[in-house]
Amino acid sequence: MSGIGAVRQVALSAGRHLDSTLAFWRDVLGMGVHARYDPPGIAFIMAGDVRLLFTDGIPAGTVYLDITGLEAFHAEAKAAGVPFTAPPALVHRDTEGTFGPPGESEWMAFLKDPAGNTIGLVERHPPQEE
Amino acid sequence: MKPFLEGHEDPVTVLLAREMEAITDSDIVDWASRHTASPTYADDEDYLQLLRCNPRNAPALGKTPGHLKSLVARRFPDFNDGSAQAGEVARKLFLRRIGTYLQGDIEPFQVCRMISFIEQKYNFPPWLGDLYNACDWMDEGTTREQASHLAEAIEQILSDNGESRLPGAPV
Repeated sequence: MSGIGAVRQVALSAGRHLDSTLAFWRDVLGMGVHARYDPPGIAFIMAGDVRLLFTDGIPAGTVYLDITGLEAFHAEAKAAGVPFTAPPALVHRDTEGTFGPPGESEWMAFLKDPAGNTIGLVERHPPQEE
Repeated sequence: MKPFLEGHEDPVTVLLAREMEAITDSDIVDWASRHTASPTYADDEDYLQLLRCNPRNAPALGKTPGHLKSLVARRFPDFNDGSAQAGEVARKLFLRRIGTYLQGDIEPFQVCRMISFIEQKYNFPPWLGDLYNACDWMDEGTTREQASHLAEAIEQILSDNGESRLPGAPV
């Protein structure tokens, strides 16, 4: 048995301006900085129990975050001028219940932060909403 | 890449294309800039807003579907996006849009994100073919290489619907 378990930390690009990237996460996604260390110029945002590490010198990444009320969030953020690279769309119907209750469907929308990281917002819908 | 909308489409067709995610808000602005408006709506305030919209102004761009919706509600009050007539327009838009995938104009997710609107609005129409299965787990990051089976599914749909898949062929 390896003893390797849950995800603890995911690294994302800080981009050229860490402040701008963190402001986006705070103002658009409502996720504030949990800890910041200057130097070396890194910051952490907590996504549930997972630490998102923002640092330079790595390529932009992709992270998928759970959200409740995806449609409403999209409408509100879009009205505020936040550009989405993809609006909410059905990506998978979990008919077998592989990732949750059977029959639920997964909807996703995508946007990018100033560092170029892709953020997928994910919401599972119960069958009756289809 | 050739614009999906040619400019001659009426506002109802453009609204339907936007609702089914066949086009983006930028495409609406681009259409308005090339469209010759009928006198019945050329002076409509919402139409004028589309003409004035700067596509680089994200908040203004985000309002374009609302302007288009208001324009259609006011000037085309009989339009019903769930009607059989609208369904036929949607079918043609869908076939034309998926055809552009074969020409390399759009990415897999731009094809797949049309499915949910069509399924719900037109009750799982046969012209959607097997696209639902072909699109399982496709998201914004899915590349054309990863979705090699998608082109095959699209070709089958176009064939089943009597559409030529040759680039530039009339549809």
